[in-house]
Amino acid sequence: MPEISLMPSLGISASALDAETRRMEVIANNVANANTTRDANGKVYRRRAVVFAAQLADAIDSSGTGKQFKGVGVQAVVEDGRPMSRDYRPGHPDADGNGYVTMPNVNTLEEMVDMMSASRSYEANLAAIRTAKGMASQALEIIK
Amino acid sequence: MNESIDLLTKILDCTAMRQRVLANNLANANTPNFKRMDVKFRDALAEAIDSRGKESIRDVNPTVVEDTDAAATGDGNTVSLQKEIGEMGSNALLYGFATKAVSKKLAGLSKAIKG
Repeated sequence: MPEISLMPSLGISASALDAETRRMEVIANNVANANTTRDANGKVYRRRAVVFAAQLADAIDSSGTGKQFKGVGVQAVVEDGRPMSRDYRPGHPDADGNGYVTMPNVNTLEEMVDMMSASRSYEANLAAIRTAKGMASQALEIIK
Repeated sequence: MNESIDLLTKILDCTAMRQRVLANNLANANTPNFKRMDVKFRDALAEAIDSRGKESIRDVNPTVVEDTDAAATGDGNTVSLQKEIGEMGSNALLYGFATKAVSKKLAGLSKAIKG
């Protein structure tokens, strides 16, 4: 049986750290634009969300035991299709004839919960890296 | 002597692979419809030791299987952070035990050589 290395497990966890960071960026961008009525295209800002996808190598694992895991990746950043909110703000520069403004469909509370979830996942993956590191250093102890 | 080294090496291989699979589960804790995977080797290893003689330990291969018992959340994902962390901890303990046992075996050998 070919040797199995602990190193790929570090790569897998690192891919998750990358993905969770990207998710955090998108969340921060949503919160920052919660009141943006004119984005780069002059339209009302629409909430964005990341789509995670499991990464698998097509090649058969060197040990012949199936597909090789490669962690996770951000497949796409998509716009949230939920309806925009309508606020009554007659003094707002973008208000229509009746004093209503179309505001972004960003719910700050929801973003906060997502942020906590991203932060916890980040921590969990850091713990996985620590475990793999501990195992590798224990293996080094054999030749001491 | 050699048989137990064989067995310990096999345990090291299997637990290293399991660490990889558990890390992959954690990485995909937020991936919709991801099903958690696990590595099975205990039964095959026990069978190899019990019934087929110690030579067959080398032929045992760990298999990656989908965990069908885990409950899915709203997005079809079956990963639970605490379960993965817990399993990872006990897996690392087993790995640590095997490395210690291998060094003890080797230390014994070297004592026998040096006299």
